[in-house]
Amino acid sequence: MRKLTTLLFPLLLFAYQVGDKVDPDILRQLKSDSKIVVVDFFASWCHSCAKELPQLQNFSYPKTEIVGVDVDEDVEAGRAFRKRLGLTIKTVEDPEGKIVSKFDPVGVPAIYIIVDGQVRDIIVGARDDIASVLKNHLARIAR
Amino acid sequence: MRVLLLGMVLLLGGCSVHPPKPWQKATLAKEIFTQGSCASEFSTIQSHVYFSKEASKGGGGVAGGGCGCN
Repeated sequence: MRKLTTLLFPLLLFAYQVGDKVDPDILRQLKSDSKIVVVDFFASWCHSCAKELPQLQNFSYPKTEIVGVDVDEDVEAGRAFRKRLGLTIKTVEDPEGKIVSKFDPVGVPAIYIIVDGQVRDIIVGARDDIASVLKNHLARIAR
Repeated sequence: MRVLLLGMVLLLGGCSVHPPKPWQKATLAKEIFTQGSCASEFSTIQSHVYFSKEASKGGGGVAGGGCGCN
């Protein structure tokens, strides 16, 4: 029984939580050299994402870069969605869920704040004023 | 006994359900999967019955599949 528990326990810790170090390979896939990387998981079929993403379009914070991860399995649908919104933020397509499965968010939209390769904060769910919410979270981390 | 147990585990394993992850719910988010999407009358009548019986309204729908919406 102890052996079984030992084998299964790491599976429970699979999803990234606050304080976890992100796999360097995943960081490479996010294509960002910034000290702070704000990773936003979204999908074309998520109505809340469509409301939230335009607010992040012009978001800026020192040493911070926003990287969108489009989790659409249908890549073309994702591209059409981004075009419709006029999104210009850096976006990584993840149709096979290789990146998102590492983070394993409970829903989308989900924002992970990564500082020096470490998850420092997680915001799950859409917010009406995501830009100010994100700014507050970043300011709290900087303290 | 062990063989029987192993057989049972394997049989029950066949019944295991792997729910889709939140990012895999694109199909479930389609309107066709909404209750009453094919016949709008269905949801209208159903919500009317619910309102009459429970004296409360709302909460009958779901947000898009997988959304971690508030």
